[in-house]
Amino acid sequence: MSEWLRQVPLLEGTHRRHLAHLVRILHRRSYESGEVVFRQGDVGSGMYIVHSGRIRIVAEDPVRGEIQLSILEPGQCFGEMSLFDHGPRSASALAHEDSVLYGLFEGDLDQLERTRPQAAARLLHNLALSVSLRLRHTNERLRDIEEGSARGPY
Amino acid sequence: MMALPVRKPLSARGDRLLLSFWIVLVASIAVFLLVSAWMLLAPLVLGYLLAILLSPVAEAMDRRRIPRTLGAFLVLGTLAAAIATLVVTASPAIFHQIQDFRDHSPEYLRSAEEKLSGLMILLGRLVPAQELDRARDLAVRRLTSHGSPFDSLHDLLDVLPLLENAVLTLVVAFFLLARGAEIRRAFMILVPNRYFEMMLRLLYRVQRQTADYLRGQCLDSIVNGILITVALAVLRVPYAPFLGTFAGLANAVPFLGPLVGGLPAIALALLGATATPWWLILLVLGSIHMLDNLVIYPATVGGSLQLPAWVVILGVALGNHLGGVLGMLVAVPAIGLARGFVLELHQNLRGFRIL
Repeated sequence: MSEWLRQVPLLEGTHRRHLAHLVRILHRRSYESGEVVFRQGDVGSGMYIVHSGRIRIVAEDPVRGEIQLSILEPGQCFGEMSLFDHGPRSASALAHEDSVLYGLFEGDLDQLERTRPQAAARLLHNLALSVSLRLRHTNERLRDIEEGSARGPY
Repeated sequence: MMALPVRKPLSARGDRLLLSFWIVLVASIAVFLLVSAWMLLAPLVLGYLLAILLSPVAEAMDRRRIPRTLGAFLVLGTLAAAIATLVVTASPAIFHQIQDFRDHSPEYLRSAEEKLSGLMILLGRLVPAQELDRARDLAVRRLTSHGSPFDSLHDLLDVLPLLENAVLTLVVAFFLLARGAEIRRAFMILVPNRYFEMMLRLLYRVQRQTADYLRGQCLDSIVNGILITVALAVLRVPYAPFLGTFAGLANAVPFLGPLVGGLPAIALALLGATATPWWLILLVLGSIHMLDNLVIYPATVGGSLQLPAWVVILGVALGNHLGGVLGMLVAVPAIGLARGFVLELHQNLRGFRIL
């Protein structure tokens, strides 16, 4: 398990000893194909790392229905924003096939900060990197959309 | 492509009704469990509260790479040793003060009779003289009875369940301090995926709320106890350490606590146990209470339990029925925490759209 965690980008640079501690903290959950992990609008309190299987991230739009945002592969994470703001989920997550996830929630992060502050600092640093990369990607997409609409439909 | 399962739309109506339903349901279950299995539940609840109170120390040890089991053992061992040392070193002083109070009690009674003579005449008109004499004899017997703290084997046997409970409490606290995270994780495995995140969030929030309140309240009681002890000692009121400790403990009960905590000192002044006038003691205790309300309590506990007065009175009565003085002290915080649990549960059920 520790070896697998070392390969997770979010935990890059985390000391082996701290990874062993994380193994004791993370929550292992199994989902059948089609099972909902969480829904858009639900109160969120943590994030998940895909261990096996694939997870589909879907936005529910009242006009356009379901919009598939991405399919996540093993090693990828989702739901990080709720770890910080504890706000409602911005999209839904479903198991695209039978999947195993590892969850890290606000209480676990709180405990990590108190017992392994260095590991928590590394994790938060990597999370900030991940969120900023996504923000940059979203900005680029927005700019593409803006440029597309400025050019007009012709 | 798999479609998301359809879920009922949220209804804003009936929110208050549902909340009331939850409060009544949880309160009924809690009261039923308390009444029917108090002796079984008490060590579990006290052990849980003790573990929460001491967890920062165990976590600090964990941070310094001291294994959790050893850390829990050291924390609880130190606590038990500190309590034992306190009991052993303080007991001669305690017995001396009890003896002193008993020696002086006839004077206090005479003084009380003199000061309350008007009231006794009035009572004599309302209550038959025989009943009044019997009540006075009983009070005299209680106050002036001499002997060891354990007058009979029966008294000694009464203490045994308390010791048994104390040991059980320590054992529960030990397991929760040493293996709390594993126990919680093992429990969470049993929770279905649908409710997993909600349950985890609920447990964490309630535990955090409990921990904040308990640590804050303990600190508040200690500061109050020390302030009152020092103030009473300066005012030359006898038995100041006992009265201060009692007032500090009573302070945990809102509304009634500060009043009940201050009464013995004022009563002693009225009975002539000290030259300090009763109104000066009242003034000083009132000032300490104001200081607590304005500065100490907001700094230590932060938010109030926000319980209505009638709930406090009912809680204290129920606590007294179940666990005597300890039950009275624990009842109000327990009700406040149960209320917090219900509110958090309701908020979570709404947040996860289960309701």
